[in-house]
Amino acid sequence: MRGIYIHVPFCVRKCSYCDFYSVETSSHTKNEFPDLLAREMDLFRDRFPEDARAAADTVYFGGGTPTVLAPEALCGLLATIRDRFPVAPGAEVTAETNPGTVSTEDLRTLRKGGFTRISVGVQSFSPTILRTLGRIHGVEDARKTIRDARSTGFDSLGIDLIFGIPGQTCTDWEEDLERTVASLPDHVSAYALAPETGTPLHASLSRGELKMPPDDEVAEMYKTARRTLANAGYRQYEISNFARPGHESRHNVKYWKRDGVTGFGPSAHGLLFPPGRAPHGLRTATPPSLAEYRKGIREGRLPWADTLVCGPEEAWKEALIFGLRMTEGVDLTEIETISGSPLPDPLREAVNELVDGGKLLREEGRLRLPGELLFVSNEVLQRLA
Amino acid sequence: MRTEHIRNFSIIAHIDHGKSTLADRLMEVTGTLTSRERVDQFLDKMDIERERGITIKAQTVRMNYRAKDGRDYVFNLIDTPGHVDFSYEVSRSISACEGAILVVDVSQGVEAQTLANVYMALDQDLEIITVLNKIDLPNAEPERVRQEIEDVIGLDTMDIVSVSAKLGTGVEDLLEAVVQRIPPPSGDENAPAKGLIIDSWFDNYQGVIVLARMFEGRISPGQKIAFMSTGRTFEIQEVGVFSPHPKKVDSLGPGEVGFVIANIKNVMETKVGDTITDAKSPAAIPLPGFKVIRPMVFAGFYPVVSDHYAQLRSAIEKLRLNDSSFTAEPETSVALWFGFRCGFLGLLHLEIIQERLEREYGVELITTAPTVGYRAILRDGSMVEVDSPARLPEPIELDKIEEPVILATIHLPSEHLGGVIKLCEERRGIQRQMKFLSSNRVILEYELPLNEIVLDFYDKLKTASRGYASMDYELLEFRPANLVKLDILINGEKVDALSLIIHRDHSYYKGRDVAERLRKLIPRQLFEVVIQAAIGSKVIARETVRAITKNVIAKCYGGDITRKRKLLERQKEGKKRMKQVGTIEIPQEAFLSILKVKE
Ligand SMILES: Nc1nc2c(ncn2[C@@H]2O[C@H](COP(=O)(O)OP(=O)(O)OP(=O)(O)O)[C@@H](O)[C@H]2O)c(=O)[nH]1
Ligand code: SF4
Ligand SMILES: [Mg+2]
Repeated sequence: MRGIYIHVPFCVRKCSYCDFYSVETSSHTKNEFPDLLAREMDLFRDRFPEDARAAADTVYFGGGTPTVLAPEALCGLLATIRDRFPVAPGAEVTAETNPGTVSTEDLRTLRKGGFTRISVGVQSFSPTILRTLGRIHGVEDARKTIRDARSTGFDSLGIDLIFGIPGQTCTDWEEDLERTVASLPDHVSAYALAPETGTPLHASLSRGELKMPPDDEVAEMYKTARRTLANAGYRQYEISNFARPGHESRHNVKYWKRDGVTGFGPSAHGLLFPPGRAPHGLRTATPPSLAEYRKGIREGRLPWADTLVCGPEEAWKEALIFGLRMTEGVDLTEIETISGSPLPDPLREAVNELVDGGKLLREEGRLRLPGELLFVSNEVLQRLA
Repeated sequence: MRTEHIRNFSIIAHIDHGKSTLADRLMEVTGTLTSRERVDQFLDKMDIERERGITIKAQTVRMNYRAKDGRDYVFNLIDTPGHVDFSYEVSRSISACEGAILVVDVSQGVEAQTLANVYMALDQDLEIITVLNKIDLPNAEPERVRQEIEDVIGLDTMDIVSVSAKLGTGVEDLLEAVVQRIPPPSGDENAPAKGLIIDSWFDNYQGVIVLARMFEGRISPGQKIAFMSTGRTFEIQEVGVFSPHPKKVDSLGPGEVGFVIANIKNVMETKVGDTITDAKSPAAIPLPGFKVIRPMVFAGFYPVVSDHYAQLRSAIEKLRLNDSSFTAEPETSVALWFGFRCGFLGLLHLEIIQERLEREYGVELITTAPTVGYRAILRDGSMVEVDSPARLPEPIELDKIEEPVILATIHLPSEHLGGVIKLCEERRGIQRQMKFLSSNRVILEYELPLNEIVLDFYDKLKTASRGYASMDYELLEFRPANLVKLDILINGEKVDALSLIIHRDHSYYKGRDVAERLRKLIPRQLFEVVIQAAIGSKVIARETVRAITKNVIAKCYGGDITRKRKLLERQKEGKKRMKQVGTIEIPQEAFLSILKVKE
């Protein structure tokens, strides 16, 4: 089944490391946004009727900070989706949120309005590090959001963490992990910080005002995360994702498995399989600009900036490169059945070489990365690029 | 063409003293070049010559000159290279001439190749016209240089000609001096034909073109000629001269220098130094010819991508057609697979060939560390030539290793004597002579092992003398030396392409240096890389490159797929410049860098 992604491009204030598309904005823009999304969905339905008729079993509101919009607006958007597209019973409906942007009441509204899962951008439990990251919230805000999410009855609660931050020590990170585990989330994402060009953080690093911790230390932090979370009952299911059994993000798994996702909102990406037109998938992307997005919709066209029709080889490469991010790995016969084309020879050779070199494990028809190579996975995956 | 109106001369000098620029002026004043054709150093035709501003190949031009006596003369000028690697070009050129213009840069004075080249010319009994060049320069010291020429070379400077090749000053006088002082060639037009092959090259349209100097007899199209060393015969299709563009003529007679085209398919048929004669009535004795030149420096050339082997082979074959001083033999390496062991006259020659292969033929190369040719004397008394460390026989078979030793002549201002002597001693040099030319100019003669100077000696010499020292050298002999093979092991496997032959006294230091250098060059990889330097079974240095611990795309969702794939593709591209040796990836530079000497 497919997934639906809504990108809400608003934030209270930009964080220092952020390179997602989001803006600090006026209430006018926020008010107009749900309507733009509704019109985009209509345009999509007209152009891709078959895709629109396929049932979705995940809906994901990401951003930005979706909860910068009023909870009623978010619930309204969910209704807009349900009006236009079939959403399967028991679907996973996630909203990302950031501490300091939701009250207990807001969360209750979201829960009642049909959201089943909440993902909280905690990032760290250390005030110093939150400052380095330029987050708007303090440690207490995070604690409160987590408590509220629990008390308002979300089925699934996720916490996002970042490590490998300038000024962060291994001990700091261990403490973050302990506090995370103590908050009893169902899901934990732990990302190694990657300073992206163009961000204020990157600039401070290039000016030498901040320094990244050495790779070896960051790798040590990663190991600690895997160990601590495993001990606390979280199974690692992807390079940066851990969950209690049954609480894996079904939506995100679609990206790694190359399942169809329809994206709406500026800078949203999608992967479609329009019948007869792009058997190996059509990658779509709206521009990371509200102005361009708005203009497209007002002109009555889907505001897509980039579309890319995948060929069989492209599809295979993606299936391997992104599938291998999952700890369960990939099933070659399954990919072959889905994609309808056999593994191309050069890729087969590359795979065999990696298996012979011990860089990929082949077990019961599946291929996977050895756990100890997850944090150096680019060294392996680049051979398949 | 009456021989008394012919003048054949080479322009010889130390590197950069202005030979090619002077040739430009001579061609200009004699009207050989139209003003439209004028470019600086016209005769440096190859891209590489133009970029580096040096002459690599000697070039011949025929010019017509009406002298002050009212008569018309024909000049054959040969512009020669100044770099020591190409001194054989000078020696060939002068054997086609009766005279030489010795150019001395008045801002520099007599330097090593000035002396080496003028001695070559004097050995051949050439008439020397000494020219002081660059008199336009503010730092010109004509008096000092004049004195040096007298003291050092022993030439009379009474009738020295002063010119500025750049501005053209004095060039008319020089032309007159050529007419008056260089003797015309002699030779019997009716004797059996005798011509010396000075050069030959392959042309895609005309086959082999032979450049020859006629000494006796006359050759013309339709005539059957023979090459005396092989006895092979060919029928002449065309003869002509370069003025400077190729121009057909009816015949070439005694004293003339020109080209011969005779439907020859293979340049190997036309050995430089061989004698051309008439097939029907051949000359009795051939001309003396040239000393065979042998490569002094060897290196392995391997394609970066093994699939490009055939491409490399054909490129090497094509280059060899026009440069027989460069040798190549197929070679295999455990680490680098299939390639060629190539021989060169020196490091500059190596660099030029390497650059031409890459640029003109588009093959990406890995060049292994250059080595000199050794002789291994085995216990059974037999001798094996060793042009690659990998080919050194095992110690149990080996009685001794002999290395080539050269005699270096170094010219320098005496204030830098200390530094230069120190450098020579560090390089196992033995001083033969120290000659004070004046209170502040010295000539040092050192016997030096070739392997100590081949790589960076010249640069070091320049540094030690603030750029003022110059050096010439010639091969002296092979001498036994305490040499060992230094092997490099990577994760326990010997990488043959990284082996070196080195003096035992330097081996410990070098082993550590190479291991350290490789540690810095080899990027961190998935597994730890252990680098060891060993002599025989004895490990003398060990370094490790720790395994990489972080290279990950941590966050990857829908929006990132295309971008993240590009990132991986870029990482993959970066690896293409590496050579996979076993499971380890070694960057190309590693193979050359091992010879660099620590700063
Ligand atoms: N000022 C001045 N510069 C000159 C003169 N003659 C040559 N040069 C410069 O000296 C440099 C070397 O000149 P070339 O003619 O290439 O010297 P070369 O002797 O042919 O050099 P090689 O062939 O490499 O041995 C160039 O930069 C010339 O412009 C001169 O009379 N005056
Ligand atoms: S909250 Fe998230 S999307 Fe918003 S600025 Fe911070 S990192 Fe970017
Ligand atoms: Mg020149």
